[in-house]
Amino acid sequence: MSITSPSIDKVKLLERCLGNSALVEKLRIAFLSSLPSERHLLQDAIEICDLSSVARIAHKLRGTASNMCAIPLSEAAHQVERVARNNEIDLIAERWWDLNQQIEKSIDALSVRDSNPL
Amino acid sequence: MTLTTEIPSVTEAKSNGLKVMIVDDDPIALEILSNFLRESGYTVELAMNGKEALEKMRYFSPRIVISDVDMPEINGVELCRAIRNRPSIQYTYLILLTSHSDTKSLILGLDAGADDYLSKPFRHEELRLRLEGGRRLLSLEGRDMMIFSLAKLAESRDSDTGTHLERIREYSKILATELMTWPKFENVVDAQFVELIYLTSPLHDVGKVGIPDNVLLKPGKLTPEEFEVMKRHTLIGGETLGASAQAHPEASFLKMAMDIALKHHERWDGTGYPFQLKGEEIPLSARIVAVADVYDALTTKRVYKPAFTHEAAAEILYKSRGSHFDPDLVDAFSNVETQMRRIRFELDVQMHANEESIKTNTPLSVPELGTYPAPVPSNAF
Repeated sequence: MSITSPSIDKVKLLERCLGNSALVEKLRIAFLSSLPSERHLLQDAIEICDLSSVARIAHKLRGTASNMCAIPLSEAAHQVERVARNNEIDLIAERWWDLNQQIEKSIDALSVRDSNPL
Repeated sequence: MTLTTEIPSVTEAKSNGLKVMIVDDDPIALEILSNFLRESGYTVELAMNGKEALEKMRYFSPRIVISDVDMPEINGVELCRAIRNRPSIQYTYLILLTSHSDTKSLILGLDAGADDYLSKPFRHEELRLRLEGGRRLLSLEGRDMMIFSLAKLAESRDSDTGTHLERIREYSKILATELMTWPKFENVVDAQFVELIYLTSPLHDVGKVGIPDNVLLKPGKLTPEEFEVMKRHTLIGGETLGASAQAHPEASFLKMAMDIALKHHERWDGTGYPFQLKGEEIPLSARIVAVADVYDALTTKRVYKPAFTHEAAAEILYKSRGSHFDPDLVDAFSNVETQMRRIRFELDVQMHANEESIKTNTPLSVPELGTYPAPVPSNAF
């Protein structure tokens, strides 16, 4: 994993996997493949103002990102989840823009396989 | 995400460890948790939601379930409720995974039967400690089951006793709980005492394993000589449990079990056996079980007598206040009569449902104790 940005804390992730770099690689591929579809699901829900689905999808993304030690992404997902739960429609677009940025950064960070993860 | 297809269905741990099921719709969470548990020596099964968990529990039978709350199909709270409502011979320890902001779900989960919770994302050390807590509780359950099994084994030689042991421990618990509210017993009976008497009262007749069949199983009245032989069950039980208590002085339940087995046939006025102890020379635990045992004997049908009504049995207890029984215990009995009647009724219903279930080979669907409406009409007894 080429993680030059702070999007994902690779040291912590390896610790969470008890030093199992094969598992880290497996998770990298899985997370990378899931992010575009999660983004589409969120975008669709936001476009039709389905705030309950927005909150649910953001909540799940927040948890997965947290497990992957992608803290900025988790935080951004939490913000979207929070405004959706509070029905703060006027803030959704702004928070979604932030989250989208973090998804992009995370995809970039996850896209290049690092020959020596640590 | 297609990660789950790569996860083995059942992952055997390095050692033959405790079975743990992880339930989460996030495959990454499942992977990280299962890796940690496998490395810690547990045997792990995975499920993506509550429905799948319940299906897999039919053959995997986990001792611990770690479940996310927010899941499709059946969520974590509903899963807790379903696990608690299913008939099971062993306790399943439930840990809910929650986020800090999800306190409402956490409360619902605990109310539905969860034992503990873990904040997401989990920390290794915290999870390790939570699991150790679960293991401790399950090992206590193992001890309790062994004690009750031992009592059941001893009772199995006796004929037609039905749910005698179950009733004795419930009656003893009710009486002890009542005494706990009395100022006089403030420093004697506490929650631990109640727990111990519930645990140990079924061993009151464990010494009957040493009584010959021709005496123990005799349908008619015993001769004086035979009765002397029968009386020895108190000494046999007391000696057996006393030896264990001496070897393990830290195990307070053994001391109480010995007291009960040895002295539950003593009488308040000193006319009982085996030592003719009087009044408070008789341990409180044995005085409690004496009332519970006689009430149960009176209200149960035996080959040599019909079942007395609750009223008739209570009348006998009241007449024996201060002679056979501790006056305080008889007064306590009068305060909890309704509960005693209800327990008798509920266990009777359960026993018949069990018998029916065995006969017809159908799953048992009997509510837990305490779920029957009160009061029960007096003519039901």
